[in-house]
Amino acid sequence: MPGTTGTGPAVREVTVAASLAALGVVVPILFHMVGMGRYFLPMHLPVLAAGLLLRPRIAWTVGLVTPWLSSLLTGMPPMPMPVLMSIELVALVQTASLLSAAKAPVWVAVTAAVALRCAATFAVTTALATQLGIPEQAAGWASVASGAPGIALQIVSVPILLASFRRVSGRKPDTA
Amino acid sequence: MNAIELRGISFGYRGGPPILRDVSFSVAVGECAGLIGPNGAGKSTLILLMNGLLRGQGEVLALGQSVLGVAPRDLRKRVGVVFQDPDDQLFMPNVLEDVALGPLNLGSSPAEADHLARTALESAGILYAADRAPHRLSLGERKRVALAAILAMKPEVLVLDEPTAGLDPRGRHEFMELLQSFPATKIIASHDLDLVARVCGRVLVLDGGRLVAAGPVATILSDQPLLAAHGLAPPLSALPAAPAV
Amino acid sequence: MTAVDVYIPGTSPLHRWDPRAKLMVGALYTASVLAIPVARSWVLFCFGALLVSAFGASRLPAGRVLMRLGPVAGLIGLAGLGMLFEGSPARFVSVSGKAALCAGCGVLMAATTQFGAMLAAMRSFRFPDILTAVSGLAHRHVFVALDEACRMMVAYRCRVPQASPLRRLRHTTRLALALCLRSAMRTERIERCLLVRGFDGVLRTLPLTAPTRADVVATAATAIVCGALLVVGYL
Repeated sequence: MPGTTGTGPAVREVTVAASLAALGVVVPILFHMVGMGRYFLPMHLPVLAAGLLLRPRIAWTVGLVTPWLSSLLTGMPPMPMPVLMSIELVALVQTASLLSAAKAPVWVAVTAAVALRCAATFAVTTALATQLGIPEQAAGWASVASGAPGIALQIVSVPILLASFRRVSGRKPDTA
Repeated sequence: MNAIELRGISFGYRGGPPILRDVSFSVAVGECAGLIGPNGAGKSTLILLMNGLLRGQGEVLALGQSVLGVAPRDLRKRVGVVFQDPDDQLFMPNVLEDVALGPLNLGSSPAEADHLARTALESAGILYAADRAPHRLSLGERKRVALAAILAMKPEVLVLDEPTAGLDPRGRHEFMELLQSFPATKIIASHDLDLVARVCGRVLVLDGGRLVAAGPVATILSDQPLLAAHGLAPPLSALPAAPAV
Repeated sequence: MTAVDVYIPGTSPLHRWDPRAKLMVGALYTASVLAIPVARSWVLFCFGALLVSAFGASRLPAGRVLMRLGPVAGLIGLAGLGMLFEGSPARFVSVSGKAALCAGCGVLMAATTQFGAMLAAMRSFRFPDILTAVSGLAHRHVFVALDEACRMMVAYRCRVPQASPLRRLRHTTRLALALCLRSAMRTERIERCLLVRGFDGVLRTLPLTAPTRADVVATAATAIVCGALLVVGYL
């Protein structure tokens, strides 16, 4: 993409953001096709990558749009869950983006973003548990623990995903 | 006046081999030129340079002005590019909105954009799909919508990259007729030499990033050694008919 | 493999209702339903009646709508689990009812409103440009990426008809990464196509037609009913 002239950062970043938001809908479908969507948090993979690739002023849109678009097109998560999920995903993407903008190493940004997302998940689940009448603390910890395989997957695969995106879009013209 | 003129264009990505080397040619206003060559010849890169989407060494002039000296919005009005894959160029949830996007971006009023979009859809023969979602259309229909999306911007030069790729024989035939019906200056990059033979008046042969031959369609496409030397085969229409069995 | 794109074309009054009004009424309905206290769960039945009458007016095929409501079962199951702890039957009814009504409202909105109209409504409500641009482009890109994902999955199943769960996970992760890589390549091409069309970061849409008198009356009536039910819920 740097080979393209006349490209405002807005156009490039909007395109990348939209592409990752779309992947945030499609990758979970791929995991659900093989019955593995529940524990591996597949929607989080492209969203986290968006945090590492985009500036904070655009990155948040991926966290906000993805669960709503998924709910609208696939029925998952059902309403009103997108409200809660967008809180978690905006926390994830914005932490990663802010740390990335501050030139933090990828593993620091990923770990901190995942940690803050877990805190958001805990808070959201305990609030929901209050409504559902199930023990809040237990529900909060259970929701964080059930995402553990997904966290492992994110730590392993997001740096690879990031490298792929950068490799593909990082060609520079010799003569620009 | 020349619609498009390239003067000594060279281009390559940093760390990679050169893609274009000292390419010069011009296409007159109202002319239809075919750009042919094997895979990796540099045809698509050349198209990007014509629209100012890439910057190389040398100079590209669109209607007499350097593409780098023209404001992007004006350049989009001068040179319209239809890319190979319609899925890359249809962005909106419905066809009419998609075709109206270009005029709206170029400053047309909503009413004007709506009119331009409907006119372009009609001339591309796809007005019946105006309210449909792009993903519900066939490849041929999506290609027509992609063409309409550029026609709605009223470009003076129309550049098409592999316009008939992936179409079935009937779709291909219809698309050729459609292209023939547009009077604008056209530059068509294609492997489909039947299309080039039918629609274009002049052919430019590109290989290894160099312009290796240029001339009238009849001369170039009947030169079998030239075509073979550059990985091309003569169009089916130029082959002798098979003997009746 | 997966049914996406929930819009069901039609000419019912709900399909013709102004999308701005639908967006507004949908938000109001959802907020009102969520705000009903547990002790007044019976009010949810009134909200349910309102939703059912809207479904009736939309003339949508019941089977497809019910299928779309399937994922709510998970939330209802969780509410049922709550009964084993500190929950009560009233809380179960409240949570399940709210989940079903919110989901139903979402399904109804999506089934009767084209996404383009929704984008135009978002723009007329002055949603940030960046949000409408990302939403619009992502919506279109979902179908392209899904098409690629399905083709990759078919090819995978042809080559690996059976695999252990661990192997399947490894393969699926690789497929997902390959899909992301393809999307990255497509992103570069899409960016060029957007530039050719004069895109500058704002996804401009054709304006919606002015709301009709019927639109205004229907919106006001629904808003009054929702407000009245909310008041009844708190009396």
